[in-house]
Amino acid sequence: MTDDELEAQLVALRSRVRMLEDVESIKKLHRTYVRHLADRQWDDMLVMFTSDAVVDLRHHGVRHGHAQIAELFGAMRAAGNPPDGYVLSSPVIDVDADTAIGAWTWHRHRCEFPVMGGQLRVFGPWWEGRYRCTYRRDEGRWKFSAMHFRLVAPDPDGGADETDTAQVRGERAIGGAGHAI
Amino acid sequence: MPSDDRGVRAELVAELGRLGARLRDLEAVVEIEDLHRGFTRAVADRQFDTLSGFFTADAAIDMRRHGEVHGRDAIKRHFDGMESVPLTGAGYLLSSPVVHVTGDSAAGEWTWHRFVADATVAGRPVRVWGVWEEGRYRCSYRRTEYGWRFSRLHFRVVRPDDDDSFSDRSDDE
Repeated sequence: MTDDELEAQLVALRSRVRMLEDVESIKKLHRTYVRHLADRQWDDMLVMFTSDAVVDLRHHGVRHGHAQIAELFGAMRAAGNPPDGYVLSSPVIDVDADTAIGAWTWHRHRCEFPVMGGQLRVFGPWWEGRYRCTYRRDEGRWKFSAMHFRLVAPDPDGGADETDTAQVRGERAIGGAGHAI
Repeated sequence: MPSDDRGVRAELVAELGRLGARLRDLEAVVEIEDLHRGFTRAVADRQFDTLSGFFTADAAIDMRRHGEVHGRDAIKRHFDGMESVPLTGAGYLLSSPVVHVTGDSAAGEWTWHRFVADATVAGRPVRVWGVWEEGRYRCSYRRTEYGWRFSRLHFRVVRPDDDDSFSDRSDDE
């Protein structure tokens, strides 16, 4: 093998190794984010986003940049600390140089619900959601540059238009959706 | 071979070595994830006699209310004791591994769920769907001649009732 051939193979190999490292780093980022979400460690989450990140979580509206995302997390912090379980699964990550896109499945298991005079422990209810995100390498570290999240089951999130469309399709409106993430 | 060519060749060989090291770290993450998943599957299948084999000889474990246990022999006795704990109808889900490898050692954090379907009411078994617990593993791993093993395993249930504030429990992982 000539030096040129060896160098060409090394360049290709370097690219493949780097892509595998990037996928692993992005998985770590997103898994740590959801673990922080479960633990309500809001203060550790903002740095996981680029300064110009766009976040669109359920009914909360689109937020642009750190200041608005911090405001969103502040509102979520004020919603309390429910003892819910979170499962993140099925990552599919595609890396293109310094950007990437990723889709994940999310489950939240709830067990406490407000009743008159307190909280009632009831096991069983769960939600399934989808993350569709873009990530960007920012000074050598992968961060979220856009995060889109919606519930998809048992009651999918939807705006007024989506609800109308569902009703046209004859789908029933079932109570229970529309709670804070 | 001219000296310039030898220099280029040496740099290419060095680069190959660096890529090999990065690939080795990526492989280590996969091997460690396999180790931990295999451990949890063995716990779920109640294969307690196999569990001590997942640990280094000098490993330490700190699981829930049991306190720290040091050394593989003591760990084996710990898991032998779990055989007497009747826990059926439980499903285990291990997710969100974050593993950092540094040479021949590593640190990892995982989320754990147990879904319980059997309860006892007035001494009789009752099938109850929906009950779950969420836990956290924080572990250290070490590469041995037999592959990666746990050198330290820390585990706590964190939700809906965390171990540290709800210590009067009779069940186990």
